Amino acid sequence: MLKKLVQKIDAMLFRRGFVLADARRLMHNQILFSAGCSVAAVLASGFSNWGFSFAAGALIIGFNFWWLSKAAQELVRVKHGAMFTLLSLFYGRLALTAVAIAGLIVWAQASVYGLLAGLSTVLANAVLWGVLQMRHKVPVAGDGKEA
Amino acid sequence: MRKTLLLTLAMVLCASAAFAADGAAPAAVGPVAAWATAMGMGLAAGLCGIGQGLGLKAACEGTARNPEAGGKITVTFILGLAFIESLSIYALVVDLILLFVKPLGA
Repeated sequence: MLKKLVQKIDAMLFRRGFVLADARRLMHNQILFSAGCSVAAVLASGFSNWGFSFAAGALIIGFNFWWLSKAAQELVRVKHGAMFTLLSLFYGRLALTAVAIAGLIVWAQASVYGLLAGLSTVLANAVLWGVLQMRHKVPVAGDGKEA
Repeated sequence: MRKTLLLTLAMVLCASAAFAADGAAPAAVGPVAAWATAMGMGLAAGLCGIGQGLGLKAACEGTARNPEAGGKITVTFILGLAFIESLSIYALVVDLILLFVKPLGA
């Protein structure tokens, strides 16, 4: 069942411009990891403010990561204006994230610690990815489109 | 010229903080926190922007030198960007805590 879900997510990511297999893997890991952690946090905290704040943080950072990895795949191939595009996208993302987090903290009275834990899911995913890559170390070859 | 400007800016900033600290302590926390958030966010955003730019430069150079390794370089680049962006988002959250949650007092 999980395999089918992963295949469906993979196909959806490919349709949306994630052409590199490793980038797709990283993104579907992030989606599954943050969704699983969010459901676990909401259930474990008994539908409290902390759990929903965690889920909101994971959702915000998930969107951020989606946008970032999609843009990064294009940026390494751009010949002119890549730096300006990267910085505009970075500041645009940061501004939108600021508005969302400010709204959550100020108006929705979200738990700051829950929000921080949710925002850390992308870091945890990246660290896990790095550890797994080190364990299954293969010679660096190919353009990542294989598999 | 640049040194003089930086020195003047530092003196003005320090002076305002010192004058603020001179008054009643609880009332002074607000403006100092506002200055701290502004400077913290500015530093975080600027330095993270520089970091991302350097990362992109290295990724572009690497891909141009060895196009075969482009996929691996891109994934490493994405991870680097994610780490840098997380730092700026953490700075943002800390600034929002300082501004709105007010752990140092009203």
